[in-house]
Amino acid sequence: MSSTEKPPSDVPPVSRRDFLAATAATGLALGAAPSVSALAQNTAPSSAPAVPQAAAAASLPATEAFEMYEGTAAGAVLAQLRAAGVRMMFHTNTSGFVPFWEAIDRAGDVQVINVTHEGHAVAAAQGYAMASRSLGFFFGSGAGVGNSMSNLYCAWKDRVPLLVTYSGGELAEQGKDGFESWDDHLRPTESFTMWTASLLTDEMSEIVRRAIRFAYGPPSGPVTLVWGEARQDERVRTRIDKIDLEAARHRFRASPDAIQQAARWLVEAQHPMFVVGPEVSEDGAAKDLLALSEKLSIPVTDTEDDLYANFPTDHPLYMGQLRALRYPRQVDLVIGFGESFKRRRPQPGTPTVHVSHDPNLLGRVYPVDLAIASDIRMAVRDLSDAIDGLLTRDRISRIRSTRLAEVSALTKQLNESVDVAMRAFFDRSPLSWERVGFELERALDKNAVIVPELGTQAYKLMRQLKIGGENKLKFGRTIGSALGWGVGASLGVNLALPDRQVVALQGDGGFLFGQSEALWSIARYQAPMLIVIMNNHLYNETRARNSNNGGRLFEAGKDYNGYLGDPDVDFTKIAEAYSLKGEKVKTASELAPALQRALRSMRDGKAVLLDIEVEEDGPSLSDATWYQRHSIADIQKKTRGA
Amino acid sequence: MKPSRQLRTILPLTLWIVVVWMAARIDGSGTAAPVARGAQSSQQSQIEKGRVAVTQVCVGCHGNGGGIMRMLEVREKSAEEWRETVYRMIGRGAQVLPDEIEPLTAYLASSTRRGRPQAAAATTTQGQPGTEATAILARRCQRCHDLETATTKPAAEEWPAVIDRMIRLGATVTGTEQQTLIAYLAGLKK
Repeated sequence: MSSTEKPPSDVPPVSRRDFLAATAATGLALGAAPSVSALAQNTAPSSAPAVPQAAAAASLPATEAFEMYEGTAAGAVLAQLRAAGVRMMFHTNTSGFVPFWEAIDRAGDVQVINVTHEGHAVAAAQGYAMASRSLGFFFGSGAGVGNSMSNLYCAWKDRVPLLVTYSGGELAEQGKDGFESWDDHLRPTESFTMWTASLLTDEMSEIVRRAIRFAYGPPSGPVTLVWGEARQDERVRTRIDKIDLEAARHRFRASPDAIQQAARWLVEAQHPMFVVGPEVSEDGAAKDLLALSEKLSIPVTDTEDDLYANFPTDHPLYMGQLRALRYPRQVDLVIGFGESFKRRRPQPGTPTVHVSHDPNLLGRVYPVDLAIASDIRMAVRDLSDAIDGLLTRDRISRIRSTRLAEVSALTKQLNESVDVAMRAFFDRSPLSWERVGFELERALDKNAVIVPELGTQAYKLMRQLKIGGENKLKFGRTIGSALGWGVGASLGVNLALPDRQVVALQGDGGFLFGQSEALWSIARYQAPMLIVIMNNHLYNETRARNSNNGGRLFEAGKDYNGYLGDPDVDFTKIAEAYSLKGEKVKTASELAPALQRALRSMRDGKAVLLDIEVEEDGPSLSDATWYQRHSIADIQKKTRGA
Repeated sequence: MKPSRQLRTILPLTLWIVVVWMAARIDGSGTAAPVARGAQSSQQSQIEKGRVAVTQVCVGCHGNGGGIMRMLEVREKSAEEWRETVYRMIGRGAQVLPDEIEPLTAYLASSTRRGRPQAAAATTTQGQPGTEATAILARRCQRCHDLETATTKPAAEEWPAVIDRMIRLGATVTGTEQQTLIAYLAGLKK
């Protein structure tokens, strides 16, 4: 991979061989070392194919792992990012990046997506990173640190590798309380980052390389950098390292003893259960986990913290969410793959195995009986091999068929109940959430992509969608739960997956968390997405939680927080203000035709916002539209009148 | 031949006696009664099935009965409304089997604030309707317990611990009510 800038003609290019020869003369040994992951794989358990000693010694890396760059310091940052395969970046308005823009312009193969608010730009970078399995990169104003924090927090909670960089942070400004500056510029971001640092003129690419290392971990997450100390247009000569982002996260392999222990428990258990979490997709383990589950017909659950489509929800072994689990009546073994049991836990006393690629998470929230530090895909494959070693094929087949009959009979019944419940509200207006889910499933492509940011009613809709496996992908809801994430994230997802239908699912309350600004970028870059606003004029989740236990305010019909219908926002007009299409849906019979129109518009390249009137759920207040009144206009009238 | 005067008197009297006798049997002492008792027993078994389903289906999200009890306390719903709630909970992920929908509805309807038996009608084994303690029993305890059985089981000195345990499981009993109940239940003859 060549550097982004041609060296000046009076300076001959430096080849790697010359560089090594020159540095060898100093007594230093430099060169490309095998990556840590490669070393880890060479120490794999005995079940892995053995590499003959002679062959291993001869298998030095054949390609060059780095090259030399000469050009502007800003260009060195770009060169290092491009060497990691980064070709999409996110930016919010600021000055002070001219050398960087010049480097981008000279490279000619980097797309910068302008977003009008730092928060949405970071969300878009996160959505892009999740869907592309690449690195999300943002650059913007140092004054925008505050704006970016909400979705920086979400990316940190979701453990998504991002580089979030800001202008400013000059040490010369410390103590001055100067323009757009404060001391220790990145301190506000520290809680939500893997690392913070200042870019330095002579170490630009080195710091970026290190930042990528921190961002991938494990644990993965955002890194924040400031540019203030770097003289961007100064000429530098620096090494640029090739980085394979697929291998950027260190991959551990479990000890054979731990795998054997887990395998023995698994074959002994009468009613085992798998719980899947985000690491399954992060490690590319979804297909292997499906195969393992099917091998012994082990039911699979997930939790609300499952960011991705880790298991096909239309599979007979999919049991729904762990919190609602009632089968088997007595689970005798739970294995969590990439699920840290932060929010939902097995029944007390259930033997539990926790497999995670982050050793820091193992048993941290919930004490487990066996903790296995491993890349999830490796662990699943090793477990599968271990089971093959413990059971005959015939025995495996008998266990599989007996358990499948039992589990699928139950899931069939549960699905019947879901259907009965859905049909009970099928034609109601305002629409039921189930009906919206039903129509979306009917209308969308089988492999569409869903980016939900919905409250506790989400499951009513999501349960109607077939997600995972060969079905739809899902990214979200952010575990951070800070509203104001989903629309920006959907843009990032659509940028990463331009050939798929992308659907952002929003509540009216969530959309009102400043998300309309993201529509500007959706229009600018012609992202033909569908934005669905589930509009019940209410912060429904909050009202339900505040009212569930009754109390004086509930009895009086007073909800200080919930009602949103005054003013009654017309979201279609917001969409039209950004040159997008908008349509209201008020009745169940209107929905299917509206969806067809929306899909036609999307095929024509234009995003659509559907404002769907949906029902409220939860405790009914005697005065559902009450809110605490205050009118500045009335005060003015009285004052003027006086 | 015209019936005799005696026959004209006896026949209507006999007819009247038969009618009264049949009415008495329909009222619960004869062949019609088992049908009514059968229906009541079937309803009770539905409610019992629903109560069991609550412990299996609902506690995962609503927690150990406490949350459920509090919600039953504040919700005033008809059976139809409770059925709708069951459907909504299924939509939210509650793992209800098809044949549990009606029993759940029956149980919730029988336990809800609106469906709660009148406090004044509660009686104890000593037959003392209308006391403050019996009103508390009806309001706080009867939705889960058959009082006739529940109030006779523990010994007098066990009541404080029993009520503490019920509060931990979600019974919404105030401190004053707790003292009233303990004093009353401890004094019951077994």
